[in-house]
Amino acid sequence: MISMQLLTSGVIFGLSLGSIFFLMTIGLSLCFGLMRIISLDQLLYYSVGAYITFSVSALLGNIWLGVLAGAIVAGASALVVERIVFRRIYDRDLPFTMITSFGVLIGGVGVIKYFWGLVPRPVGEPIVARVDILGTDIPVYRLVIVAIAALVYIGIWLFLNRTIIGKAIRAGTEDVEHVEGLGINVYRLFTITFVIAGALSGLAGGLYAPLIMVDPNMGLDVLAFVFMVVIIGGLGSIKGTLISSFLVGQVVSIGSLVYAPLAQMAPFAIMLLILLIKPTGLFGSQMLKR
Amino acid sequence: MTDTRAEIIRAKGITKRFGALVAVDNVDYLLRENEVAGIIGSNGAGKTTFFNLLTGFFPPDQGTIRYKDEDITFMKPQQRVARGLMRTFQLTATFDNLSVIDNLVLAFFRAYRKSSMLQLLLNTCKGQRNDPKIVESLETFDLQDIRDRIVKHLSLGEKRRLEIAMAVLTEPKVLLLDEPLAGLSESEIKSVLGVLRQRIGRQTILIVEHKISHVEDFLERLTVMHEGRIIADGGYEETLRDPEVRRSYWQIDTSGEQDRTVVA
Ligand SMILES: Nc1ncnc2c1ncn2[C@@H]1O[C@H](COP(=O)(O)OP(=O)(O)O)[C@@H](O)[C@H]1O
Ligand SMILES: [Mg+2]
Repeated sequence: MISMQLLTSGVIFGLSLGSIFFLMTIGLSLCFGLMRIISLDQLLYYSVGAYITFSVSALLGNIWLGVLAGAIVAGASALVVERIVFRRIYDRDLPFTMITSFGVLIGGVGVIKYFWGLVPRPVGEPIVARVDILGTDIPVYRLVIVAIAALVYIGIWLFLNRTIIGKAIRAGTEDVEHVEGLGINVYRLFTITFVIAGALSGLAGGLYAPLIMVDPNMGLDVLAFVFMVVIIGGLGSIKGTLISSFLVGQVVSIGSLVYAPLAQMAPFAIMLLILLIKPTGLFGSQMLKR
Repeated sequence: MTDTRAEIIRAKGITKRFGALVAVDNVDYLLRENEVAGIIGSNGAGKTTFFNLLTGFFPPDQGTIRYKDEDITFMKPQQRVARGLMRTFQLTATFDNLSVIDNLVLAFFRAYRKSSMLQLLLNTCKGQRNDPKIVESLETFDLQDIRDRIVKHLSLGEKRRLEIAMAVLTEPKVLLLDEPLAGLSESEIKSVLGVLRQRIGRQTILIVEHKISHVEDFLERLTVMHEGRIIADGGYEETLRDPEVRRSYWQIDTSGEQDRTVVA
């Protein structure tokens, strides 16, 4: 049996992990919804965010500034890649853009190795305080991660439902050509979406950095989980991404409490199960629904 | 009779092939400012393809398209919209998951093109919803009562009115309407026609219809397309008297289609 303490800390751990997954995959989902690309290079911006967090916090002594800088530099890297690479290949089919994005990811990992070397780097925890929840000692930082993810979700929701650009993006997920037909420059929408996606991936990397060792392959390490999240949630759906991120987070966390190897296997089993029942994922057919 | 109004669109020898099929075949076509023109032709005659060429959804294989003094043959759709060339779609091009008013706000989007990126990102829809142009459009197209409805819950007639409202909001010089009456009930047709009538004289209007019966009383000019070619073009009455039109249409009419009105 699992004790109450272990279970509580497992659930909180899963929530924070789910939050990281959410921040990492929401960009992928948005990019697919609007541009119909599978942007695996988001995992590069995730690593960039983590490394910038490492360097800036080492330099300035403030981890939060590091996280902020990480998100900004990740967004900027995404901008460069969008301009140089994706701008030219939006018209190509899905496998082509996906392989290209994977190429960008691998190439980018090479660049990271060049600048930061192969040695894993530690980042300190920005908040060391702990709180007592149901008699269990919980690191406050994990709760802060969950809160930040919640804020990002609300922010994205407000952006998509309250701003003109957001509405244009939602309209674009329905039919890009018709948006273009209204005289709207959809490539601008593509750029905005891609940069937001990259910045959020970078935020995920920066926030996660204090909990892991930052190393060049960290993006590739989470690739399997990212796949599971988007497949379970259904690509292009914000709500689906949210739900499946937390589902996978919990399954990994609770699964590892029960039996350590389950951490890798359990989400995979759930993914297969969901694919059997609903091949489009939980929310696959409904794009960017409220 | 000579028309002294300035030319606005001139298509010369445009051809579009889909594989072996010549969907638009060496078409010459001229539109003048504020003209109200119609193109009829059976299904598959090439009308929609012709629209797609005019609006830039794909380039022609041959020929040129001029807009005023400019060659727009290879120009992108949104550049053409910026110059005032606006279309509606045979299957309505409204956005299903947005409300009526937000669809209008999007159609009005170009009005904000001078705003900076940051302004645009922060711009909420609230202010735009009360823009006089949008309020006026809701009234003109009788959309006030459904302004907050999500479009997927609208009837086809309401969607068409919305789509035309959106097209008009972009302040076009040329309004291209692809079968605006298709699939509508008699009362819906009346309301869409009422709306279109208000636009006469404010911009060039080109209506493509499969059936001619409903638009006959306000077209100045009628063109007939058949198998990708223009087989007749001229004043409304004169075109309908054209022997080739009668022959082609007679054939089409007897082949099971319902556009009885043309020859009748
Ligand atoms: N994108 C396309 N690809 C291949 N064939 C097409 C395409 N669009 C239209 N066609 C073909 O071109 C012909 C003309 O179609 P269309 O312009 O839609 O006619 P209309 O609007 O007069 O009914 C039809 O035979 C149609 O099947
Ligand atoms: Mg058609």
